This record gives sequence, C-alpha cells and structure tokens, in this order.
Amino acid sequence: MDRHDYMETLAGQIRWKRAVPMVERELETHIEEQKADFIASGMTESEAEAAAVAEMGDPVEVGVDMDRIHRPKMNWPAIAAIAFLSILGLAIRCYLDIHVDTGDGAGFSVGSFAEGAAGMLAGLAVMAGVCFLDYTRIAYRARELMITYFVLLAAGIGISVPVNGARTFIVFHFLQVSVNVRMALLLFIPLYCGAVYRYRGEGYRGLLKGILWSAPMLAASLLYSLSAVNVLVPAALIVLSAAVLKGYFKVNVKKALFAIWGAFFSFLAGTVFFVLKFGADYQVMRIRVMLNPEGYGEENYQFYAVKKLLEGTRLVGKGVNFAEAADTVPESMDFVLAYTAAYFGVLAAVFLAGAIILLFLRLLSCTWRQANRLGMLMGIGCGAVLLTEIAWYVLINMGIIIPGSSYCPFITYGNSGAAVTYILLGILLSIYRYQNGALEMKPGKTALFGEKRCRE
Amino acid sequence: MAADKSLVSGNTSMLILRLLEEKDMYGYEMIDTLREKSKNVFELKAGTLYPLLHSMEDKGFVDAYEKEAVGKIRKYYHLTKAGKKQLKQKEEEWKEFTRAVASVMGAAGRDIAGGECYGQA
Repeated sequence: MDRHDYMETLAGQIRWKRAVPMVERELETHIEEQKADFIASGMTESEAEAAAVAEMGDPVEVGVDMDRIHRPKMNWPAIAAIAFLSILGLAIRCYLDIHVDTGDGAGFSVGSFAEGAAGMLAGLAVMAGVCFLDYTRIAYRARELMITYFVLLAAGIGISVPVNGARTFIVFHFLQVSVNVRMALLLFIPLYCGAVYRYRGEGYRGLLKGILWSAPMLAASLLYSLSAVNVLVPAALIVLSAAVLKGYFKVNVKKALFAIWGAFFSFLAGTVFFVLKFGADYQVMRIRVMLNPEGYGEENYQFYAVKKLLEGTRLVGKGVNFAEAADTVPESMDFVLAYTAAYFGVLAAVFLAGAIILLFLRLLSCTWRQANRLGMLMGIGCGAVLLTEIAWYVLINMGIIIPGSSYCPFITYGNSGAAVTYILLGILLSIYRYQNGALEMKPGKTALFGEKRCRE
Repeated sequence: MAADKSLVSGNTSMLILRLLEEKDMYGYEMIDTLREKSKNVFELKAGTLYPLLHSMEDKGFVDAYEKEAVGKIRKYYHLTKAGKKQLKQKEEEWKEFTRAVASVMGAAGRDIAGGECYGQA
C-alpha cells in the first residue's frame, strides 16, 4: 500500500469530512519524518516511503479511532441552560406584568405570554441555525463584512428615529418593523474578531492594525448610539488582550497589555476632560452625575427611585418599600432584576443574575481552551460583549451606578436584543461544535480581497 | 530479553503524559524519545499514538499548536493542568498496581526483577 492509498483508506473511515485535512496533515508529516530517517539509514526513497507507511499501522483501525474522536459536538448543557433561562426570563417578565403596577404603565414587556413564547422559540431556532453554520466563513470576509455593515448602517440614518439624543431605532415602515440599532451594533464584535485574527503573527504592526479595525464599529456607535461604546470597547479590549495572552501576535505580553490598557485609560481620561471642558451642557451634567451619583437629586430621579425600590428588600418575599416604590421607577422595562429582588426577594435576583453570569463564564471558559485560534477569539468576543452588557445591567439594577442604556440577555424585553443574543450564542455553540475540525486561514496576508481559506 | 508489551499498553497515555511533562513534543519525537528512554522496549506505533493524542486533546489533558521547524509545520502537544492531574492519578494507580504485583510475586517466593523484589525499595 502506498502513501496515497493509505491516506485514502484512513480518510474513508472518518465520517466528519471537515476533520480529515487536520488528521491527514499530521500523519503526512509523521510519514515524512520517518521516511527521512529511513533514507538516512541507507534505504532508497521508494523503500523508505513503503517502510514508513508500513510503520503507521492499519489505516482502517486508525481511521475508525479518529472517527470516534472527531465528531461535531453539541454543547447540550449550555443549550439546556439557554432554554431554561429563556423560559425563566419570559415567565418572570410576564408574572411581574400581571402582578406589579408600574408608574409608567409600560410594565416589563409588550404582548402576551404566548407572543413572548413564540418570539423565544423563533430566537432559539435562529440560534440553532447559526450553530450549524460554519463560523469560519464570517472570518473569511470579516473586514469586507464590517465595512458593508457600516455602510448599510450609515445609509439607514435617514430612516432612524432619535430617542433622547441617540438614534436608537431604524424603522422599516413597509415591513412595520423597527430594529434597535444599539443592540444590532453588537454584531460588529464577531466581525471584529475575524479582522483581528487576520493579523496574527504580525507583531506590533498586526496589533496596531487590530486596534484600528475597531474604527467602523466605533464610527457606527457615534452615528447611532454612543452608549454602545460602553460594551463594544471593553469587548474589543478583551479580544485584543486574549490574542496577546495566547501569543497570537508574537509580541511581548506585558508590554503589549500595558500599551493596550494604558492607551484605553488615557483615552478615557482625555474624553472625560474634553467633554467637561467643551461638551454640551447635558453631556457635562451627565458626566458630573456619573462621577458623583449621590450628589444630584432632581437630575438623578431614576437612580433614587431604583435605590428606594431596593431599600428594605428581604431575602425571600416582597421588600418593605415595594408598595410605595413599585410605581415610581421610570422605564421599568430596564429594571426587571431590581423588581425581581423587590418582589420575589434578593435570593431570587441573585439566582437569576448568577445563573446568567455562570452560563456566560462557562461558555467563555470552554472557548478559552479552544485550539482553533479563530474560534478562541470569536468566542471570547461574543461572550465578552454580552458579559459586559450583563455587568452594566447588574450594576444599574443594584442602584450602584446611574441608569443608562442597559440590556441583559433573557430578562430584558426586546426582539432586537433577543435576536442579537441568540445569534451570538449560536456562534458560541458553533465554535464548540466545530472545535475538532475548523479550518484556519493562512496568516500574514493583508490584502483585503483575493484571500483563500485553506487548511493551515 | 524481549518484554511483553501488553504489560504496558493500558498505560501508554501515562507514558505520553510523562514525556510531555518535561517539554512540548510532536508525535514523531514522542515515539523516538520513548524508544530511547525505554532502551528499545517500547516501540509505539503511530497508529496507536495519534488517536491517543487526539483523544487526550479532546479530554483537555493536552493542548496542541503548530510550529514551523526546519521547513516543516509540526503539531506540538503541551501538557495542560488537567493533564498534570491525570498524570498524577495514573502514577498513583501504577504504583498501587506494581506494589500489588510485587507482593503477590514476593509472597510466592519468586526472584523477580533481576534478583530483587521491585516495589519494596
């Protein structure tokens, strides 16, 4: 049996064809090494190759073993947790809608339980669909997709609706659909990870290019909703840090991390200084209130309303202030967690937030162990951006920082937010699914077009 | 004297983990090193090694990465924290096994391991 027959017989045993190139490559290298040693010990080339192939063992046996190991995997515990949390979130919103009379009359969601359940099922179906898609295809054209997405968003400015100074919604009147752009902006993150991935192995220059590719998503945030920066920037920093820590850029880890985070904090301090000095009155006031939430009463009504709602909460059961404070919080939809603590008790809120955080930490830890570098980066990005949203949401709902735009997967009402969450979760599940057979791309190419996906 | 290799076949993973404890290695290097260290007793076949490595990677005992060396791209394996833990456990099991064998053989009054009862040192 020659090398070609050997490989063909072996590959024939592996049902999951995506895993074949990876296995073949490693075994081919082994045969090459063995062949070179045989030649060095005096065999002719053809003798050496035949002997090296014979040394490999039975191709059917090896192929069957490889077939057993290399299968697409479903992260069933995570899927069960996602389904459970989706139902729990919907049930809590609907229960609170029925039993709590909020002052703004908006309650915690729109529509009936049945409508919510239908939306949830649609979301889970989207997640399943994305999970079966090959996420490496996104990275293949990440930069082009980023630019296209930015251009589409920029074009959508004409049909966007301003709310409180931000252009949060794009309204498609002919479809009677409005899209929450603040949430849709999060979809930049997997694309950004794909862009960063392209520059691995390029040293500090690659790192700088990776940083610069955050420009389209930051520009889109400036156009629509500046508050998206609060989650996009931390997520981008986490992605870059993960790439540095894993050695993808081949740079000095300490220096690079210091540079990335140092630049971020300097920029943050510079922005705060700039806004305080030259910003519009409302921006100056907002920063002052942020820096000193306790110091402002009138301007910070929502913050105090949440604090009052939370005062006197019990471990289990309704808080003592509930009857008095339940109808005082404006935009109650953003405070499902605070209302959960005030109505059901602190334990219920801790369980709810804890379970959601745990799910994302677990997904991030699975991703961190990924051998596939693209999968690692994209997973970290998708997990980090949602975890950052959750962190802001929990801090706002605990009355620690002043309320702003916030979102928590599973518990905040909204179709756009839910769709984005399920898409990002779908990508995370897809990364888990294909971890034993994902293709990588050739590093070091920087031309925008004309790159090929290959079996690296 | 030719050794019966089946004695150790169930513990190949322990030997591989032990090799990787010293440094990251690629498959061919592992076979070579194992042969050298065991003075030609363990002749591990590639067909046994690679499925084993892939299954250990799947279980998280080893990580793999590719590195270019002398014009070839080799797949190196690296022992993870979980792998170290697994190695420790396997070593314990192996010690227990050899102790048990030694006491049975010793009790039967046989002279093994070149005149000394191993496991009693």
